[in-house]
Amino acid sequence: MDNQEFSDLAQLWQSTPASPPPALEQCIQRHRKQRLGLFAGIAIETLIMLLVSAWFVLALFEPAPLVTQLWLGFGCVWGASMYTLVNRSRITSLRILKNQQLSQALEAHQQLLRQEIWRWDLSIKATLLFALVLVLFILVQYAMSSVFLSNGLLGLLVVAILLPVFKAKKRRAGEVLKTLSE
Amino acid sequence: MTEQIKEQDRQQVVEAFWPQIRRAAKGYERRAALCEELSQDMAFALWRALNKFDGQCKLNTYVYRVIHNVAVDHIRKHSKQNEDELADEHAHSPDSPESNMQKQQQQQRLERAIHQLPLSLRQVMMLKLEGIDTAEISDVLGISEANVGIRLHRAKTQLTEQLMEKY
Repeated sequence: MDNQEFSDLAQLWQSTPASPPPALEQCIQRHRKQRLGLFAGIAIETLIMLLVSAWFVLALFEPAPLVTQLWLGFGCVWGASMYTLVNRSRITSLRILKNQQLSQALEAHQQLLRQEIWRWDLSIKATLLFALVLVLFILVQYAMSSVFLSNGLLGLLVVAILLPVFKAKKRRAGEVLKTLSE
Repeated sequence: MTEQIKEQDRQQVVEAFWPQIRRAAKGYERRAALCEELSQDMAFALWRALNKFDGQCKLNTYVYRVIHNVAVDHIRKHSKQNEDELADEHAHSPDSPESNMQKQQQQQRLERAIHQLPLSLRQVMMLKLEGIDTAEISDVLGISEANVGIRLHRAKTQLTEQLMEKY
C-alpha cells in the first residue's frame, strides 16, 4: 500500500456521514443509575451476610439440632469468606481503575480481566464446596430422619444451575483476555 | 496551559470530536446497537475526563486516549456475544441515499477489513486513518514510536490483504 492509496483510504474513513449529536444528559442519568445499582448490590450482599450471621448466632443460643447448627455455621463461614475474598478482588479492580494511567489502558484492562477470572474461579470452587457440604447435610438428615429435605434438594438444583453459568462466565472472560492480548 | 476546560466548553469539545468518536466506535464495534451505545459512552467519558484535562499533553492526544480507553473497556464488557452473527448489521442502513451507495459500500468494506485486524494493529490503524502522526499515536497508546511503526507496517499489510480478499 503506497502513500497515495493510504491517503485515499484515510479520506474514505473520514468521510462517514454526519450523525445526531451525543445525548449527554441521558448518559449522565444512565451513569447515576449504574452507580445506584452497584451500591444496591453491595448493600444487599452485606444484608444477606448479616442476616445469615444473626441466624447462626440465634441457632447457637436456641435448642437447635447440632446438624442444623453445623450447617448454619458452615454457611456463615462460607458466606463470610466469599464476601471477603470477592470484595477484596473488587477493591483491587477499583484501585486498578482509579490508578490506571490512560496510556496503560490495555494492561489495566488485562489486569481487570484477570481479577474477573479469579472471581469466577473462586465462585466455581466455593460453589462446589458448598454443594459437597450440602450433600453431606442432606445425607446426615436422611440418616437421622429417613426423610430427604426438600430445601436441600432445591439448594442442589440451584447449585447445578449456577455452576455452568459460572463456568461460562469464566470461559468468556478468558476469551476477552485473549482478544485484548492479541 | 494548566487551567481546566470550563464546564460550558466541555460539551462543545465533545460535539467537535463527535465525528471522530463515531468513527472510532464503528472501528471497534460492528453491532449497530452496541456501536451507538459505545459512541454515547465515549462521549460521556470524554465529557467527564475533560474536567481533569490539565494541558500536559495536546487536547487531541488526550481526547483520543480517552476514546480508545473506553473502547477497550467496551471490548472487555461486550465481546461476549458472537460478533459474526451480526457482522453485516451496518450494511442495511435504511436511510442510505442511493447516490452514495457505492461510497457507503466502500466504507463498509473498509470497516469490515479494519475489524479483521488484531486489536493492537487496529488501534494504530484507526488513529493513522484519522490523520494522527506517529509521535502522537505513540503518546495516545503509550507505546514507543518504533513500536507504532512496526504495528503500522503490519496493519497496512494485513489491511491490504483483507481489502484484496473483499474484491
